[in-house]
Amino acid sequence: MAATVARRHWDLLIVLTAPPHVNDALTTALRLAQAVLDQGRTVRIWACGYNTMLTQESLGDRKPAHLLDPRVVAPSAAAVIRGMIDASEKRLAWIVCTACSAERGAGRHIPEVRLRSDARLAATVAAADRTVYIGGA
Amino acid sequence: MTAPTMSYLLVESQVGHASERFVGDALALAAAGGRVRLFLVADAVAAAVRGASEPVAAFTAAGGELWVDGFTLAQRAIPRRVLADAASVVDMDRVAAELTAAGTRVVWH
Repeated sequence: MAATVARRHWDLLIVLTAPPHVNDALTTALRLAQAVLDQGRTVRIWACGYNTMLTQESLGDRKPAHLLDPRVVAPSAAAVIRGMIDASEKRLAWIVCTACSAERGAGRHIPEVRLRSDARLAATVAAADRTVYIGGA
Repeated sequence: MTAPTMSYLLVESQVGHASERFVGDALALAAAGGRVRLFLVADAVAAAVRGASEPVAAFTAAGGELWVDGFTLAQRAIPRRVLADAASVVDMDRVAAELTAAGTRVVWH
């Protein structure tokens, strides 16, 4: 009898294709993910398109200085995502699409995220009870 | 034996012609007897203002449930008093609960 590999199953997969910083799509997706985590569930986010640039190590931990008030320190997108993953007790995973990342020249990503080929998207969808596309195909 | 009522959570985040068509879909589902929650978030919260959207008014008249994101309203300084009477201001916790509920079909526009 052939051995089988147990695959983890997730409550929700958010496939995020809408570009960040154009409208509220990214912040809404993060708010939804946090709300699902707060209910004790598990969430994966598949970052597509320009969302692959959010987790680059080159972003560092902080945004550029707020010129009107340098005392204000705002975390970078990478730091926000890292913080959510670290606080989630392994219930949140962030996946970076390697095709989108390579097309946009997105460099080294923070170690907390996973890189996956778009050929793995169907399997990732199958591993979730529910999938929501935010931003369209 | 009656068929179970279909449950839908339709999320609209934009405004414009495509959004009106999406609300039209929500209306059709509600008119067909489904339990439909239309959640307006981001730019779409403007459609929850009283008198702003005929499709939204038709949707609530047909029995649809209109949800509006409280966080977005606060960000845009839209007071609750200007919203349609049928609008319910909700937080993301409620949306998350509905979105992950068994039997709920979800579409995000």
